[in-house]
Amino acid sequence: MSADISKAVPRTDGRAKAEGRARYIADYPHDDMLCARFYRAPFSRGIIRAIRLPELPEGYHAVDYRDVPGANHIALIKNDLPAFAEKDIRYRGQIILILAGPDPDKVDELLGEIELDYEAGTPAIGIDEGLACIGGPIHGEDNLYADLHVKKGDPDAAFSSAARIVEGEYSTGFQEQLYMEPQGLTAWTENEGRKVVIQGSMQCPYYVKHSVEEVLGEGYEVRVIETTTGGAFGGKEDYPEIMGAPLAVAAVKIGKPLRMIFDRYEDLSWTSKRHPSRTRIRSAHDAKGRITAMDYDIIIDGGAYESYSLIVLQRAIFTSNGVYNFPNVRVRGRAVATSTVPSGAFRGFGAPQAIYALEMHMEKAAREFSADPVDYRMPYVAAKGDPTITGGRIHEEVIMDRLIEKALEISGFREKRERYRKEPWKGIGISFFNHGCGFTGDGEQRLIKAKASLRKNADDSVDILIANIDMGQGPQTTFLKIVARILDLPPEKIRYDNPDTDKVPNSGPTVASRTMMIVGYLIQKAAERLKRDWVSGKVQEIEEHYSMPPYVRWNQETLTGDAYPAFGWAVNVVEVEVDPVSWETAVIGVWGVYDVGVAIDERVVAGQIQGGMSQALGYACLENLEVDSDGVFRQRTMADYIVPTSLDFPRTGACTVDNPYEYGPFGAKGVGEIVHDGGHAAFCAALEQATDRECPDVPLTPERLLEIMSNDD
Amino acid sequence: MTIEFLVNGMPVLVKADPMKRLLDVLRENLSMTGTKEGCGEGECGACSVLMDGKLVNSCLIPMAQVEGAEVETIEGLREREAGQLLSEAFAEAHSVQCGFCTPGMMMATLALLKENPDPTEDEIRLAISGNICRCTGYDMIIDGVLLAARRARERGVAW
Repeated sequence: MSADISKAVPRTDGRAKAEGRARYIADYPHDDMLCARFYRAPFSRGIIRAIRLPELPEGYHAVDYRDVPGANHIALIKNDLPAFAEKDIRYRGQIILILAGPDPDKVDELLGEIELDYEAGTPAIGIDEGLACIGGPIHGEDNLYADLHVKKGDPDAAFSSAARIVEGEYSTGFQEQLYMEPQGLTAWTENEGRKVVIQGSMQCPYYVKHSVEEVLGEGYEVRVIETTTGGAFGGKEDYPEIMGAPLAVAAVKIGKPLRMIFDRYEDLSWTSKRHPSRTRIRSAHDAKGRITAMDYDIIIDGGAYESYSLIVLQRAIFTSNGVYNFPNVRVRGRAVATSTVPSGAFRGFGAPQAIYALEMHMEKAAREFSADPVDYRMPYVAAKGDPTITGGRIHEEVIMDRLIEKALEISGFREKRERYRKEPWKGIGISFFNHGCGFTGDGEQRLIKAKASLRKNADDSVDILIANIDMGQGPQTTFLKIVARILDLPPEKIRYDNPDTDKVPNSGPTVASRTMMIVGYLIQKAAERLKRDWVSGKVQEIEEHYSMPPYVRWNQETLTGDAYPAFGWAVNVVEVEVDPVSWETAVIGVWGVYDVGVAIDERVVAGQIQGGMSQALGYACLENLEVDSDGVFRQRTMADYIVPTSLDFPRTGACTVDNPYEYGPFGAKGVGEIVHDGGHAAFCAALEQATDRECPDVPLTPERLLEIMSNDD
Repeated sequence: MTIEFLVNGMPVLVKADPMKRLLDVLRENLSMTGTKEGCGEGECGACSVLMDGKLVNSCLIPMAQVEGAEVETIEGLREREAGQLLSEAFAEAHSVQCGFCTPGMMMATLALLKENPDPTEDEIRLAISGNICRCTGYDMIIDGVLLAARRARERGVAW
């Protein structure tokens, strides 16, 4: 069933984008719009005593928390982040008010004239200061947004009877999504101010709608329209809510259309980043070196408000064992409050941090027992029916053996690994990993309740009505393929416009590697029904509602059961050569082999694999994002925050092996995030072979490598 | 001051501050929004245009320098056979994902293929190294450039 649907077609959106015809939010006419900008806290922590605004010329407006008609919060998970700060400031750059007016330069000038009287507190920067509650707790009594424990088997007994215990500590840094199109939204009102419209770049139109509804309260209608979105990678999951809610308040108060487009500096400085992490792992081994138990202590830096930290942490915990079935496991996971920008969603969502720690620890354990890194891992690779750490089961066929075999073959791993034992400064590393597709547990059924529709028009053309967006990952190409295939229609008879909440049902957010597997499956079922009921010339609408696959069991209270309905599985191999003078690491080979069920379009999937690998390798060695003592990122321009160029890495040898999933369209599972989960671990494993040193931190920049090489010479 | 220059072969007269960026004049004064702003500091290449045949970042070009120059933007390229061939190749090769870098990437490709209609992969990598793409990892952009170069040679299309 697979080969046919996987055959690549040209990208539906390709030509309009390439020719500059696709309109991003900054491209829309805006002559009648006021320029809106945020005034942000100029200090990192403390209390606002008074704000003095300059006298505003005619046509210029200030909007703050007193103007919020509904609840002054951003509806994320915990609602702890205010839309506009009132008194408390928890991070430098926190939104205090909006200034808007016709001339952007004048707005900037007025922003510079705002005077703030405040009492500064002591910021807590980084995980250690957060845990130590420097400056007093930011959140609760202990600065912990979450402190979760998971246990499988009897880890205590295994550790007390262990012949040997291997311990390691692994860390990952901040990472910026660096979508090429900066954040941007416009807002206006209709129906005498009772309807608010938000238009712009975003992943989740219904999330934005919900957050605007909360901040406006009863009596307002809200419509959200997505415009062609120039990349997102999670960065436009939470931020358009943080930006859109105050902007909607301003649109209601001012009564004029508003436009807010960030420049790169504002975007890099104040939008959410990937959670930094520090993970300590202890493994218990028997006399033969076999792993009898694992103990993880995972800490992620959540920043100044909780935002998505709880669910990022949950994914990190549920991914902590990767592809392995260890008999006894203990995991403690904490998300700590600190004085930096609230950390948020980024492709992988906790998994890249967890996989990194796990795979670096597997390398270390293999080394400790003088074992080959592949052979050492093999006995623990899970199989269908194996228990997960949440007390669920792996319900699908696991084809890791085939993925591994393929990866070894195309990369020449074994021969190179052996050869580089003798050749200095060269190394090849491997990582195994998986990624749960869709929301954790019963989130799809309990929270999202996706609905997806197909509408057949009188001319027998078909509209795909879903709230999911194409941020580059390809659904406007792949969903058309699914519908065209089932209805046997030419693709030009099928439309999938950028979603508008007045026109499409809530099929949920474009996140969590769920669009194809969850929403694509609903569209497949809708198309099959439409085919059965097809009456030429008649308008017909078919709506499908999500229901959990019957085998999934989940208890949200105890976090037990099947954390994910299905997984993507993968093997990455990276080959490096280190320059022992500059300590620069050249990547000379990259391979990725994946089970994503079935590729709906092999080139769309290969594009995800290659692009995700590039980001993972950037995370591994280029993308250094540091914080100063005031909680401000040191790298706030693209000259300072370095992402991969075309010269940095060679081609990724991308490959998939089919393993059709019963509840995915044509057998497809998710692919969007897994591609960022393992490249950095394979890179560091290769670097460890090349340098014969432990490389337990990313980003592993030349400066960091120099430190590692000088420390233990 | 008043600045006179050619955009896609059309003479244009613009009243602008001499320090105003070419990018802003294209997007705001001339409503040519195919050229994108990704960073505003010459690092990302989304605003690439050709000025007197050379690839430049239009965010770094003050209008004072544009007097008398010939500027080609994506709006010009797309009207030419070469532009159509290139955009078709990019769509087919999946050189495009989010698309925000793509008009700039098209211009960088044009600058390369004008000079070198049969480039190697390494020459392509060098030619597009000032244009950041965050989505593709560049592999499929290179495929698209190779495909377009081959087709243009086969069909005798001039860059």
